Amino acid sequence: MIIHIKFKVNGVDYDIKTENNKRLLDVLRDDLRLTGTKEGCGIGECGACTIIMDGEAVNSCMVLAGRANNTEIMTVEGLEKDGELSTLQDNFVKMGAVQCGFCTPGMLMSAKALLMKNPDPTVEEIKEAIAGNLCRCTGYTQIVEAIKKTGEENR
Amino acid sequence: MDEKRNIIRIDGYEKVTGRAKYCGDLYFDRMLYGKILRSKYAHAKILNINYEKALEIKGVHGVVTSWDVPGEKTIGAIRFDHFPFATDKALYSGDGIAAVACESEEICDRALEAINVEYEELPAIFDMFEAMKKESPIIKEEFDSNILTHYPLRKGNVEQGFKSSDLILEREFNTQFVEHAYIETEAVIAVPGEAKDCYEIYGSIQCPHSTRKGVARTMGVPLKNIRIIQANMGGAFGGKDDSMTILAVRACVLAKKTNRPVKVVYSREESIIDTYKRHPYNLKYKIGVSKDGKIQAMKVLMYADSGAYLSMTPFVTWRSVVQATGPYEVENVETDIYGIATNNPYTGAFRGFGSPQIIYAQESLMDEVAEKLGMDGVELRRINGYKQGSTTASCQKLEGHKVSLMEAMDKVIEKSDYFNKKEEFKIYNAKSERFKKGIGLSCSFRGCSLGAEGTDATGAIVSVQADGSIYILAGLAENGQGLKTTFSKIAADVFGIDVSNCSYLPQDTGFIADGGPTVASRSTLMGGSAVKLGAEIVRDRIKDSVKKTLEASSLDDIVFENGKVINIKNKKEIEFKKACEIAYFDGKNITAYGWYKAPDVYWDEEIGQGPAYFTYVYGSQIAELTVDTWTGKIFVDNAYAAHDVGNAINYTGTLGQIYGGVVQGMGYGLFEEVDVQDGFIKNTNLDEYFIPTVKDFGNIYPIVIENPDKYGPSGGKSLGEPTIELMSSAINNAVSNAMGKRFYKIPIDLETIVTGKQLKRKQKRGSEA
Amino acid sequence: MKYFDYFSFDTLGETLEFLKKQKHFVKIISGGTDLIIEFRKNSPKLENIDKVLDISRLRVLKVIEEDNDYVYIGPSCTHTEIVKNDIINKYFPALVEACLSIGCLQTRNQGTIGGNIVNSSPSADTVPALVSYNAELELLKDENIERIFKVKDFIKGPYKNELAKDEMLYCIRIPKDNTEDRLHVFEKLGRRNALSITRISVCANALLEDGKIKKITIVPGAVLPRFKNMKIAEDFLTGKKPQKEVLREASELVAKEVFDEVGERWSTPYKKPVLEKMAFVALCKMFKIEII
Repeated sequence: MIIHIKFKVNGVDYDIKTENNKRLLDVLRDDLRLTGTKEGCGIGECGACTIIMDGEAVNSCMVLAGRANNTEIMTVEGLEKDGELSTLQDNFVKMGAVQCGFCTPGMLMSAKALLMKNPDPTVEEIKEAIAGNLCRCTGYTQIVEAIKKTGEENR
Repeated sequence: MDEKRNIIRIDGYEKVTGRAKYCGDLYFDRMLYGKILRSKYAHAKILNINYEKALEIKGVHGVVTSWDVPGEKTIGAIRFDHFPFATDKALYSGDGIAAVACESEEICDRALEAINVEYEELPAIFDMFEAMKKESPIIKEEFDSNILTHYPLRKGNVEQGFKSSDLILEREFNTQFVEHAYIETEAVIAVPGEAKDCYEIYGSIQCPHSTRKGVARTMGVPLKNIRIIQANMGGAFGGKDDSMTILAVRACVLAKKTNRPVKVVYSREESIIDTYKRHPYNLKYKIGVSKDGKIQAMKVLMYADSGAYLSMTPFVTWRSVVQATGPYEVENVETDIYGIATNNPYTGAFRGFGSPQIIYAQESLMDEVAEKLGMDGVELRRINGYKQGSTTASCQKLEGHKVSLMEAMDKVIEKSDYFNKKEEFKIYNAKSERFKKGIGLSCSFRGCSLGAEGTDATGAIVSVQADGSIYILAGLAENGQGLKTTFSKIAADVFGIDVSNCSYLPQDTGFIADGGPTVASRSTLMGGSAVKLGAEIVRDRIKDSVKKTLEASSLDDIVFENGKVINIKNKKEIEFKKACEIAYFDGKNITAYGWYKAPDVYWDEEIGQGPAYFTYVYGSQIAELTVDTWTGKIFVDNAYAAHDVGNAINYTGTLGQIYGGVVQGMGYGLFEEVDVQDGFIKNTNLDEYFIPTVKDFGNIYPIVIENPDKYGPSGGKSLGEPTIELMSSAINNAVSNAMGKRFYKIPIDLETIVTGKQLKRKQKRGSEA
Repeated sequence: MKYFDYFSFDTLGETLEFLKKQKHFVKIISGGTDLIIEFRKNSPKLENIDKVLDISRLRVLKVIEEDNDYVYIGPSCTHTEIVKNDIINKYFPALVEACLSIGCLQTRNQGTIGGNIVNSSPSADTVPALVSYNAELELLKDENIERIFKVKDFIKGPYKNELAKDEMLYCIRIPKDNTEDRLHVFEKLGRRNALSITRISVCANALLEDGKIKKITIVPGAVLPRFKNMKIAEDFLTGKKPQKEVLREASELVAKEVFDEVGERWSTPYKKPVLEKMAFVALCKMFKIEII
């Protein structure tokens, strides 16, 4: 069954037809070729596919394509503006928050969703916001530091 | 952190923008999707495979089995015993029987369901000790027994040693199957090349040259016909080595059959079911000490479950033998390790590589011995621990590098305030009914690089452009650890320029020589040395070209600093860029190949003696934790990790390795166990296989020790693996310190703390009733 | 993934109309966090299901409001929306804690309270809280025919409940009696501190009068096939002063009542003593008695 979805991704309007039993993750990756969003487990347990949907961080592997209709979505590809990294991205790079980089897009989106609501979060708030994002490389410490520093720079 | 030592990760930009392409992100024209059919049994004869019905499904382009493998049917890094497609028999539940190539993954699923395999189930063996019994059937026909490997080590006379001991302790330890759980699952795309019988393979491949060997062998073509191009890697930790060769072979056979690009991306479940794990060990330690705490003798008997295939078992167990007695001087040693075949999932390389198991056991034992002697574990370690010039169990004299075990221990003790904490916790625990606090230490030595496992050499190309920018291409691979950044920094330092001038080319077996596998924490040490050599060759050629311009009388007067090339005698200087331009127009080849071969090492397999590794690293970690004795929950409040890295070339990355390794070590000690029941894995996704989240530990304090090593580039040596091998024993010792009782099996889960043992559920996955 | 057809309507009327016409069970989703996992596994639970009805667009199911007797929660409210809601925070803090304890932020942002109830997992985190507050469910057939169940009666066993195939969960309502003075607690244990399936939870609330327990409700989670009050312990505590030893005794009764019912399983040697301790911890926390 083909369904029709209108939505906004990273500020761009899309009007697409796709298979109804696709997940939003598949729509982003296969239909829009926005492959920055990753799949790590397919069951909402690793956070690699985290995107921001109508202002909230969600796992796109848990969202059916149809649910994305009339929503506004932001993916990792939407963070860089006019060829300039956002402060958050810049701090991730500078502070060792990236190793293999596979959890990074999801981690960034969880952090971004937090900072949108809470521009200068505490360490505890940061941990709560990224608790659903598994990272096997970094031991999280430098990720938390990078988000913390971004918050401090928002002051 | 020391801001000046912070280096910007050179592949950071693409990774934070989503531009970095991992294998799953690549698409090719006319590309098909592949999927694998796996065995229904842990041990079975395959009588017949009928896939006629699958071929009738619209969108199915090909089905392949062992019959379609054009060359040899087997691969293997050490022995050719592993069938990418089961031939005659399936030996474990993850064995591939057939594969399909279809227009979508959904069609693949339907095609797999339509394949009918007739099996004859065979008696399976899941227990190592069962497998060793004489009457047990031999699982692998090419071996004459289920004991696949045996490494002995003999030094002195243990019986004599035990006789002169005042205290003898015998303890048995057990460790578990562990999953690498890299966040990116395995992925490969095999693309038929333009030339006849040639294939390009893109993939999340840790050791591209090893994979090339396996693919060429099974495709029956020369090595030159196969190009392995490494995509960005979403983590490996040792886990994307021979497992990826198997996947690459499967994809390549599908590509040959369909003559189209075929992409295979494992789901998390497939990743867990199909690929190798960390070896579970059974370890029996006997130790004799004199009253004053001097170790007199150690006898160690170990068994490692190799599962259905040999994989890296010989090398993994060999490292265990070399390091089994820990960083301690012991006159009399008798160690034996056996690698055993079972019908369990196979086991192979995993960060640590045979060390986490033995360190867990032997460092837990040291604390217990100390306790029995009425001394602190630290004191016992000081008495016996390696010092400059100490001799190892294999009679290697530790010299030519700084033996920094005591330094590591002293620093971690100081940072953690170990002795005061012990006193504080005693008082706290006396008052507290529910929570008990404890602190525990662990230390280790580790041989760097491959050692006497095999040939140890690697290369790198450093290509300077006329404008002073640089390409680097090395035989070792970026798996996430930060190799590209470290290698770039090494090259940049040779030229006195900033790292941002360097670019790192994708690893492609077509462009760079086989420099061995990216394993054994050898990248900085080996690959870094090759990069440095290559850069130095180019630097000397540039010197030659600018000698005239700088009016230098000797090449030795020319130095490269702060983006400039300077004659130190007359202070004449030019920009590095300008120097490159001069060399370029001078017709100089300003691209060079650096090749580094490790110093010779040696091992006598009969008696387990010899200089196993050419240099070593030392480390010590401390865990400070709280046990909720009512629920069994353990929380590591603070972890401290001191590691001698020689020289922290990439300081930010050094810290990252420590943080990451320590957290993996916590998972190993507290949460992680692949639950294998009757040969089938029960926890096949990350909802039931628990790796630590950001909320599962407190703070980590890294302590970077730098005693430059003469063999390493600018003194740098190994770090990746030492960081993971210590935490489980530090935790075990801290739990004992907290609770006043000892545990002998990891993970120390909730049930262990409350009931004294792990409780095993025997039921289907899904509910944790 | 299993193949299915997807439907979504703008009004409740159309949604009910569609349900009425179906011969087989239709999978109703709002957040969808449980369903996609089942589809992915090709779960036998979904054997005859080939249609998915997405109700997340119905605004009427996303409302939280109160009158004199009840607080009404729309089943499509996400856990995050409940956590942030002032009314729920005021009257039912244990429900807030229960929602906060779920998996991770992404799941809480997407998963709904209605889904948590209808999925009827024995380890559903909101259910012990809802049962402890004596919550009721309004099930709608067409716009007039409504059945009402108490949450504890609605769930019949693991993943089994009273929902008929032409019915949908319309509203969760929680009585407001004594809400002002009540004490509340939700205590949960998982193997990890996030992304964890609940091993054991205990939810309770109580009303004190002259220092004595006037009314108390204790509901454990993840230990029984269906959710229920710990009657024996509740009766035992009623009329007593909440002192440490009394609470300890009550906790033993909780563990006894549960394990008398479920019998000996692989996990009993662990779960029995730990449920007892968890109940004790929860009760002490609720009555503000310190334990270390």
